[in-house]
Parts: sequence; structure tokens; C-alpha cells
Amino acid sequence: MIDFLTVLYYSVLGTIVGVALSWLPGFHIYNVIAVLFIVMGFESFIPAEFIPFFMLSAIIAFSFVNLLPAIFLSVADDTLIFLLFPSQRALLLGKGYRAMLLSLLGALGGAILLFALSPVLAIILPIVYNLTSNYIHVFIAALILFMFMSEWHRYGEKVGSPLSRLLDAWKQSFAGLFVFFASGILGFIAMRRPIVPPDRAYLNLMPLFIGAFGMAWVVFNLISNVQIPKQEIMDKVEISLPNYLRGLISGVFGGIIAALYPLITGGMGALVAGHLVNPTSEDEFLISQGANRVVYYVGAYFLLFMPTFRIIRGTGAWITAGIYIPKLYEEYVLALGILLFVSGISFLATLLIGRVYVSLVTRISYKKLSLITMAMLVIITYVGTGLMGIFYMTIATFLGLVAGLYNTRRSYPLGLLLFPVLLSMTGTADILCEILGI
Amino acid sequence: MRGFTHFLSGLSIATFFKSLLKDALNGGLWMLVPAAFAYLPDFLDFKIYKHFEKWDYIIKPKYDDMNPQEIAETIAKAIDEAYETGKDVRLKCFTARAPGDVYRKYSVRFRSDKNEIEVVVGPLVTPSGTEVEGTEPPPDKRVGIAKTKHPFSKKYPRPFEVKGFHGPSYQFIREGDVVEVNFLPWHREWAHSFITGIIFGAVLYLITAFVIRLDFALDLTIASILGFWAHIIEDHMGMMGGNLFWPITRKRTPGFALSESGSMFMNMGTAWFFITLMLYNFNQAATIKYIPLDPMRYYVIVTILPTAILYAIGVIYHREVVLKKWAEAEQREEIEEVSEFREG
Repeated sequence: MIDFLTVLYYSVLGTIVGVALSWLPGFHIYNVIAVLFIVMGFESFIPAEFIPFFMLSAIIAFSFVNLLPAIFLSVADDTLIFLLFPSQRALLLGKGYRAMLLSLLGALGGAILLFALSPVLAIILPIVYNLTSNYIHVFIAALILFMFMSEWHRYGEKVGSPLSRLLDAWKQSFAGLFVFFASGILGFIAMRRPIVPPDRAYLNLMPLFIGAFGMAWVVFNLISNVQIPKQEIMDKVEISLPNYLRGLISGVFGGIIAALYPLITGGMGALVAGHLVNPTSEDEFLISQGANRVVYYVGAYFLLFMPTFRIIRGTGAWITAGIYIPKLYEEYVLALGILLFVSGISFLATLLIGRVYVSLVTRISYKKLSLITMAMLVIITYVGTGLMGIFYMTIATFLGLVAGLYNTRRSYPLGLLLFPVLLSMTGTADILCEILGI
Repeated sequence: MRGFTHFLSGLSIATFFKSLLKDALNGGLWMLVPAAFAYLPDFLDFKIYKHFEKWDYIIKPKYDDMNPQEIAETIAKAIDEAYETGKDVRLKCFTARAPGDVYRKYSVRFRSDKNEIEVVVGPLVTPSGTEVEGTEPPPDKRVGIAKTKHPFSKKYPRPFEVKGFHGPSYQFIREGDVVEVNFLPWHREWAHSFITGIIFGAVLYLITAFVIRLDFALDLTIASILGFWAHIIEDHMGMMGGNLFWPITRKRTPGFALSESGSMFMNMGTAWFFITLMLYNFNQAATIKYIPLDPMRYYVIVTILPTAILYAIGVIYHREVVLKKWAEAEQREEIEEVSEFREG
């Protein structure tokens, strides 16, 4: 029988680690977990059967607290060059704290719904997954195709000849295609020519992800002339119940899709859910964003605890599965309790840190903060993957920057993982190997 | 319907063809073609055709210096020109983007009862329309009213507001003694015709049967045409409808007006319908049967019943909430700003 107090102890420990690291910009809990467990051998400090609870708690804390850098420290300037996300726009209007509250409410609602739906999902998901598992490559390819076909052209709204308008609109799609396939080839090379020994295989793609997403974000902050206005702090936020529910349903639905299927990220799930549920206001979008993050990250890891079927999703789950896989109903029930407990703590912790964040965000130098983050990302990459990793990270950063500069989908650099895996699934990887001579 | 709902319909239709399912089980991706076909009508319209529209009048206001009177007069002039010349007159309203990715909102009311065009300039708004406090224009820059010499009619019930992303365009065309106002004239025309679906299907068949020499080219073509048609039928649930048999028909046939295209209930209902069909087809193709129901029970209980419930909610919500809200916005005798403007 598993000791409840010890579970609680390691859950609190995981929460502390998650909260302590997730407020930092550019950090991803999976990268931290990979460095802690694979490079530093952290598993020798925690008994194997408690590692899932430690990880679950760290991931829950991350999915809440990491909303802070996403909202407060990912800002393009207010020129007409960049199209902004709702949270970025809110920050520039002095409403960043309100955006944080809405996202947090979405995150908490997402955690509660995940808890409530868990028994139903335990019955339905195995059926759906078993029926669709032979067609996963079709779903992934379908989502990629839909991403390209449905790209909303921001340009082309100008007076000019039809051809000039067409080309102006399509430069965004062409940039997206370039980013996706260039990232894909980079990911393919990294997978075929690993830069780390097999025992550190999880770290192989880490520099690419850090470059395309974390580092590109930091560089944008450095090149943007960001002036954050004073932020309005409030104790409550008003939104009608139907609007809240629409945002919540959209986020949870997108999160479940992303959690269940490999390679489909929260953003891709949100794209699908957004089309079906159709959240219409920024407030609904912010709520769905918060819910989506929790259900995607936590839901994916939680599949490891499902008593009715066990699939492994996400780096955190893969690392855990290499050490210990939960097998008992008792562990599942405990995990459900931990889900609510840690979500509550993380919600309060985010509120608390958010107050500090919002007061600092107008005072600190964005450039200095970005430089510090950049240095930390370089150190993590170097420690995990060496000089070759830094090289890969630099190329991936460039691709992430192209996506941002052309206002195309920021998720296209995911091609670094999607493209090579899709080639393998469809049995066409050898063709590219021949072309590239590897 | 929204894009992914269409796309999903095509993917689901593909699962009715054993050859396509078999190909997918062998790692093939041909099932994506019917899905792409199901999204194709909107792709053609929004990604290509809209850029070829020629405008006779262009309204391109600045966010910090908008002249509502000039906008109203331009629209009135375009309507009169359509009446007097009998030509198809097109007018484009650009958005007015401001720094911080916000937009100056302006709304156009076609008051056919008074032969008037009312333009009301609003505050800065986010792309979804949330107003930014303290950004209202000065009182003398808020309203513009212009009279047309000739009558006009606007059938599309939704109020016209120019906000974020892309601005709308209008077609003014004389029908008898009235100028008809058509919203987004480039949309749901030739690309939303059953015949266009057959033409694209024929091209697909020629390529896959004779160039690629695909064994199941005919199945793929039929599935793709059905996907294309599904899009047209789904869109017809809404108000705008489509030019169903272009090039035989020349005008859009109004839709069934069950709901608006972005309705959550209608989109989820349609998606549910096609997802459950797809799952059952996967079940039929699997060696282990995970769904223990016979087809009849499954279709009634799992597919049709929830879809019907979602559709019913969607229709009721549309009639009782959305349409009333639009009608209120359109039929209000005077909105506050306009009253103040008239009073001088």
C-alpha cells in the first residue's frame, strides 16, 4: 500500500520545484525535468514509486505559473509590424493583470473539469484511442494540412493590382511553408545524426525546441522597443457564465485532443477546438488558453495513471516510464486528489507571484531580463547537449524568428518533430535520407 | 460552418470508402484529399479569389482622422451609380488599424426606410471587438449621414461593422427599381457550386487515374466531390447561402437561415455527426470490434440524437437571441449618436 503522507510530501516538493522554475521566461518544465533526471541523476533522491507524483505536481505547477511569463514577458512593441496575441494586447493596454486572472480562471476550471471528466474519459478514451490508433498519421497530416490551408492572411489588404495583393497575402503562407519544412529537415538531421549519447536521447531535440520557441521569444523581446504601461490591478474580474463556459469548453476540448494524440500540441488542439466552439472575444480566448495548457500538459501526463489504459505522452511521462509506471487504482485515485490539491496551491501561488510580476514588469529592464534569460538558455543547452547543441539551437532560433517576423503561425517550427515522425510513419523517411545523403 | 467542421466532414466521408481506409492502414495519406476538397470552396474564396475583386469605390480611413460624412457620401454615391448605370458597382471598406494591433471601429447602417446611409465611428477595438476605454472620437467626428437618390434594399440581417482583420466589400446592383446590397460579393459564388465540385473532381480523376495511376482513383474522386458538396450543404444551413449551380445560376440562393456560420452548437453538432460516423467506419474496418452496438442503434443513439439536440439548441438560440439582437441593432429608429447628430 502506498503511503499517503509520503505521496503528499513528494507532491509538495514537486510543486515547489515547478513553482520555483516556471515563472522564469523561456523555461519549459520538460527541459528542466530532462536536465534534473537525465543529466543530474535526480531519481536517486526520490523513491521510484513517488516519482510520478513528484512529476505530476511539477507539471501542474508549471501549467499554472508559466502563464506569467507567457502573459507579462512575451511582448512585441506597439509598432504596426507585429500582430499581437490577446494577452500581449492586454498588457500594452494596461490590462495584463486582468488577462492573467482570466487565464488563471480558465486553468483552474480546466483542472476541475479534468478531475470531473476523468472517470468518463477512463471509459471513452480507450475506445476512441483503440479505434483511431491505426490512423494517427492521417490525423497528424490532416492537422498540418489544415494549418496551412486555413492560415488567415494578414496581408493583402491594400490598394493594388490583384497579383500584388495575392503575392502580398501569400508571403505569409510561403514563410510558413519555409519554416515548417526547414524545421522538419533540421529535426530529421538531428534525429538521424544524434548529438547526444543514446542514454540521453530525450535531450536530442531539446536545443531545437529551446531555439525555435524559447530563444526566438527572447530575441523578439530584445529587438522590440517594449514600453509597458502601468498595469491596473484588480481583485475580481467579471465575465458572463456563457462566455466563461465557451472559453473553458474550447480549452478543455483542445487540450484533450492534444493530450491524447502524440505530436499534436496544445496550440494545434486549440486550433481545432477554436473552429468548433468558436470563442468570439479576447476574454474567452484567454480563458481557453489557460484551460488548454492545464488539460494538455497535465492530461497528457495523467494518462500514465489511467487504470483502464496506459499510454505515454510527453517528455515527462517518457522519463517517468523509464523509471516507474503506476499500476494501481489506488495510485490513480491519489493522483486525482493531487490534481485538485496542487492545482489549488498553484492557483494561489500564481496569484501571489502575479502581483509581484505586475509590479516589477513596469520597472525592470526588459533588455536586461532578456539577456539573463538568454544566458540561462545557452547554459542549459550547453550542459545538456554541448557545442553542437548550441549550433542547432542557433539555426532553430532563426526559424522561430522567421515565423514571428512574417506573422505566420508560431507553431510551424514544430515541423522539427512533426515532419520527421510523419515521414517515418508513412514509410518515406528513406527517400529524404537518400536526398540528404545521410 | 467553420473551416475545421468542413474539413472534418471530408475526412469522415473518406472513411466510407474501403479502398481509402485500406490505403490509410498501409501508411497512405490519400484520405486527406477529400478533406482538402471539403475545405476547398473557402480556400478558393478567401485565399485566392478575394484578391481579384475590383473595386469601383474604396474607403480607406485613418484610425486617428476618420470622416464619417465622407464615408456615408461615398457609399450613397456608389448606390446611386449602380441605379443610374445599371452596372455592378463594388465598394471596399478597409479597416483602420492603430498601433498596438487595435482598430478604429465604424459601422454602416443601410436605412432603406429613409434612403439614408448612416456611418457611426466608434472607439478603438481589439480584433474581436472589445472596446478600448477612453478612445472614442470627438463628438463632431462620430456620425455621418448621406441620402441616396434611389431606393435600396439589404437582405442580409447582420449589421455591418468594420472592425479588425479585414474589411468587407459590398456589391450594389440594380434589381428592378431597387439597388440590392450584397455583402462579400466574392464569397460563395462560383467556388460554392455543385458543378464546380464536379469540375475539380474531374481534374483530380484525370491526374490520379492517368498520371499517378492510382488503383482507387474513382473512389477518391467520388469521396472528394462528396466532400466538396458537403461544404456547400453545410454552408446552406446559414443565411448567405451560395451560388449552387454556377455557371447555370448567376446569383446566390439564400440559405435555410437555421443559424449563423460561427454557431458553436451547429458546428459542434455537425462535427459530432461526422466524428461518430468516422469512428463507426473505423470500427467496421478493425479486427476487434470496440463498439458493441449494431449500426441502426449506433446511428440513432450515438450519431443522430445528439446531433439533433445540438442543432435544435443552435436553431433556438439563433432565433431567440442572435436574430433579435441583430434586428434590434438594425431597426432601432435612432441610435444615440445619430439622434444627437440630427438634433445638431
